[in-house]
Amino acid sequence: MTPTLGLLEAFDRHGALLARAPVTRWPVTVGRALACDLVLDDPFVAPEHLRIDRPAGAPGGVQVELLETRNGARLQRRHFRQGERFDWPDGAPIELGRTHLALRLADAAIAEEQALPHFPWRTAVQTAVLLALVLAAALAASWLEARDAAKYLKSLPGMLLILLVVLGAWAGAWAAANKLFAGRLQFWRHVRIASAVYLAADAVQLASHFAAFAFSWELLARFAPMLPALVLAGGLHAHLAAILPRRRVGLAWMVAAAVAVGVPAWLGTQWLSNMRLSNTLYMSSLFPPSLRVAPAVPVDQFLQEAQALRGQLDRRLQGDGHGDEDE
Amino acid sequence: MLLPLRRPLRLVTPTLFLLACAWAQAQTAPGPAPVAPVAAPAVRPAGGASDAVAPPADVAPVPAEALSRDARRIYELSRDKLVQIRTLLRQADTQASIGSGFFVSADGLIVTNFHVASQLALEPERYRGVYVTMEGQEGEVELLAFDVQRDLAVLRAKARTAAAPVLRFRPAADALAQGERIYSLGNPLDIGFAVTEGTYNGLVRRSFYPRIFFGGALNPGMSGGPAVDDTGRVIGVNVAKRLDGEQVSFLIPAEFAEALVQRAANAAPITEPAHAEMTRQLAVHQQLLTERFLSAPFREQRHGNYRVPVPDDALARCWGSGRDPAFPGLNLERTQCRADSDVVAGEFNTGTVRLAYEAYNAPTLGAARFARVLSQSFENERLRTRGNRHQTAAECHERYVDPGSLPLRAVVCLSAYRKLAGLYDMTLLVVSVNQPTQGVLGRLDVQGIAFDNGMKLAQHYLQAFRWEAAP
Repeated sequence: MTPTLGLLEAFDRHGALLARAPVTRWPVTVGRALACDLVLDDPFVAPEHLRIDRPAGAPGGVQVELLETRNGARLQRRHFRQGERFDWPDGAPIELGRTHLALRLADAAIAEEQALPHFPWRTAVQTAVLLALVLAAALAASWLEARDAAKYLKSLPGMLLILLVVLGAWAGAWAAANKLFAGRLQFWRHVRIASAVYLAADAVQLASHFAAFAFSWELLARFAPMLPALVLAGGLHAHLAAILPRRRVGLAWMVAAAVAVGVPAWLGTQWLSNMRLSNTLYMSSLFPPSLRVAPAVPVDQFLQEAQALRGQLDRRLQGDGHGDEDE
Repeated sequence: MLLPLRRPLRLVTPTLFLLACAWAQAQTAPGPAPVAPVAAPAVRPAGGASDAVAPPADVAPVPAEALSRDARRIYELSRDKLVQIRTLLRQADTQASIGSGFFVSADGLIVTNFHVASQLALEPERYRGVYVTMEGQEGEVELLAFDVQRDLAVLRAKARTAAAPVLRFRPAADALAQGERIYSLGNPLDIGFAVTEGTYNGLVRRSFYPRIFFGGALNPGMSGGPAVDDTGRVIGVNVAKRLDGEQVSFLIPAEFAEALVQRAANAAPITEPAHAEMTRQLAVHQQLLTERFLSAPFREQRHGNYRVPVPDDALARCWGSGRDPAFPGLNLERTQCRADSDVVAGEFNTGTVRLAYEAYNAPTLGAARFARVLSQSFENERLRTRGNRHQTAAECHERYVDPGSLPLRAVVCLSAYRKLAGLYDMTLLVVSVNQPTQGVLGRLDVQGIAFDNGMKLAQHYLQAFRWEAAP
């Protein structure tokens, strides 16, 4: 029996094993032809795509030579064409067509046996804390709206159920996508992302309304509904990056582009239909009066400033595009 | 309006102007109309002019003993002096609205309401007017003058050869006594000419312009018809009725009609859209309104330690209501005031002033929950976010304002009238920001006001808010 010199393996793009061939002699060929040592079914691979050799003289190095191929091969982001030769470092995969090729040499050191992962206490605690915070935020929000304690208590079970169902459905949908594209569910990770997004959106909302009240920053109040949307965009990126971690940079660009197109489009629509960028006419979120920082001005100053409305209304009269609309 | 809570009381008193429109008839058959049996024929599309007016034989033979002899006499005295006024679409020649009117001069001057003739004033290129006598005789009319404030118009019957029989005005000096019998004439719902008996009940209290309170029934289509005393002299012109009452109707005192007739006698007919003249009259109206409001300080209304301004009792009618039973922790007092000063400006009403308050006190609720309740109430205010063909959308300015003892969040919003140059609708929202679990929310609405007068009213209003600390 000839000794096994190495093991040649072919994977698809998701890491599933397509073919494997023990190497008993050098060189070996890879391609679609049945004469090859490793036969691939990839239509983007040539009948005899490449030859792998380990010359006896060379000190341990494995060499690859591309044979008659149109598409060539890639190694570590470098592209090689027909007829080119290159060294194949240990452990790096070669891409040919839609297939990834890996080689284990018999004389290569074998990594130590890894311990099975322990129960991930840290992430479990993180998840629990995030969920508790979401729950607390939801309870507090509905307590603020509640008219009396009895009604509040009565409404709790329904509210909790809705919260759980919505969160579960949201994280579940992302987990399903995760399973589809990356082969793993990562349900709890998506739960954590969703919880963090919910909390962040809530906090941004509260902070913007509070700052608008405290400092009389009306502009912030007008665009307050838009800020959580930005947080949501960040959350969307986190979900997508969990599914395709290798593409997180590209996904970030995509989400940023969506925001860069979506925000001006929204503002533009508002402007075209109402001649203003936000249809919130005034700051309406009130907080306890002691939190107010902005000074109160005398009545005369207020009305003096209001004189500017005359010009603004003149501009509206000249062309707000509503002149032919019925009630 | 102010709060998502239930509204316990409908405070906007519905007044129906007695104009019968083809569309209003078909779609909104005038409100809670006690006219159910007569509604059906009224909806019938007006075929031809001669078809719409029943021959006198149909109308006259009413059993004589059912009517008082006086009404019968009045009817005979006035029948040839009454006309129906129709506004017709020039192109299609279908009638857009109908009202009544009466001859006041031998050369064919007719008095009616402005709201009957407003389409002739504002869109003469689309509408033309005709009068129809009780005998079915029809002729063109032209508009000579109108009085938006009092809701009057004077028309002239064109191409009339014979001298018109006229109704005479009762001299203003010859005052009627309360309870005297008077008779209102007109053509209700395009059914036929009718006389209705009622009583003279003096002038309407708190009406911005004098109006006679007529204790009798008026119906749509009688707008512009005369109300006469028992000798057949005109004491007023039919104008409106209240929808939430029975036999509560209103007449415009004859002296205003008489004055307008004198103005109209030598006037040239109006053939171009008269928005400028209407705007001029509305400007006079808002000036009067502003002066009335500024002439005296507001009355103070107490809500806990808050003092909020309400208009003088002679100027506006106020209604109050109490707490919301569905929210035990919250004490709520609500007030709404309205000046009876609205005028018809063609397709819409304007010229009124409204004030509303909501005072909250919730010592057990906690500052955060109270702030939330107040926010929801404050946020709920409806403003004109979109323009339409009459008005632009609102533009607002907001700030913390301190009139002295009470810091307020104030928002002033104005929207401009497109065809009434220089007139605006103003809304002023205020909410107190001084107490963690008490608050007062106010809203002032002024319609059809000049910008500077609006600012003056806003100033007068804001300055009147006070917090009176416990001694």
